[in-house]
Amino acid sequence: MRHSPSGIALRRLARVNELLLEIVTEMYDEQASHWPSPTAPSVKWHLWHVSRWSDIVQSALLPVANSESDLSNKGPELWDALAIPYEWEFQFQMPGKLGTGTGSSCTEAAALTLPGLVRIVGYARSTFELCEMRYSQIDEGMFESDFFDWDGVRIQIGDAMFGHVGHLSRHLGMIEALKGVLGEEGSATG
Amino acid sequence: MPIPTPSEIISSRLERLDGQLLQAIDNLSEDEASRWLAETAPSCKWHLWHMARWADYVQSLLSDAVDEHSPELWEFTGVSDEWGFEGVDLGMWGAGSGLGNETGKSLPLPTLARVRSYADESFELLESRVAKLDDETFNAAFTDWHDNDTNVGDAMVGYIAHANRHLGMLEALAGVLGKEGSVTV
Repeated sequence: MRHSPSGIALRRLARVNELLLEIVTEMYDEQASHWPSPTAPSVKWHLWHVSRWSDIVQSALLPVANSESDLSNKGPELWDALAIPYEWEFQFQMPGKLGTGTGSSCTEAAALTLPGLVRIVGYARSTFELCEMRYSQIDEGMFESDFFDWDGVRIQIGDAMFGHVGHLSRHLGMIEALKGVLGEEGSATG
Repeated sequence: MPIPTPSEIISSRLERLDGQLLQAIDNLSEDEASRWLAETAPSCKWHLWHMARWADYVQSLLSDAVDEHSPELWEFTGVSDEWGFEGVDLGMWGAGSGLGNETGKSLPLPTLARVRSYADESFELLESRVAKLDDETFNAAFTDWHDNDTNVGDAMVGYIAHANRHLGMLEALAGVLGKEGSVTV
């Protein structure tokens, strides 16, 4: 069966999202919150990070999916639209690039008091679903055009879509390895 | 600047990823790279070997689509014999997948430098195959390693996702070993 490049991106995104949710729902809050060392963020931190990025990506892809003329616009993020920082009682600005944790130090990351795993999984589910919806709205013509990504850089939409799948896969691997360090099976068989 | 084609995107992402895998390993000593942090957490050296095997396996598969058939370096250049792997169970596709932790840990992996050298060669060979993909070969029918009928492009995106997972594993393990890095991606 032949898959178009945009179809490939959607199919691979759906798969990594599914695996991310599957692996965290097998864990207890305590396991997911554990930092094995000061330089190894917890599973919960990784899940929060990929959820934030999924929210940013869906927001950046909204004008593309809606065929708007100005692709430098961004759609709303669930993070703000649903007042999640308020609900989670975050007192400070989120660390890292675009409030995703990217580029922050381990000390800054560890200072972030994340809520229970269930609430992060809820946010992850919503952002993953929305991101998949945006991907599904992008056809082959749009895939090959360019837009301004989350860094304000002009880039091909397809490249950005593949890049997001790669980034999520990398954090899935981190979660799998941390699970292995906690004594759970799974990370050697991927 | 011309808009890159899907195959050019894949090629450029693969090169970057391979560089990141080697860079992650280069930050570790032999002892750190060889350590299993738990019975269920394969060492960084194991992950690098696994990725090198995958790259070698896929470059051989892909050679039929873009070049003349080429065997795996593992057998062809005698790496397997040299490292004493004759008769050793290597799991699915001979790449360590599905081996289980006990068997995985018992593999006679040589020094990190030798595993890295094999990785370097197999990554480079795969990159050269992928660089030859064009629109036609990207869309060409391909039966992947799971026996799924798909196209070359889809299989290669799947390969990159898998390699990214193992890059993440290496980075997380390095983080547990006290190295900075895994939080900054």
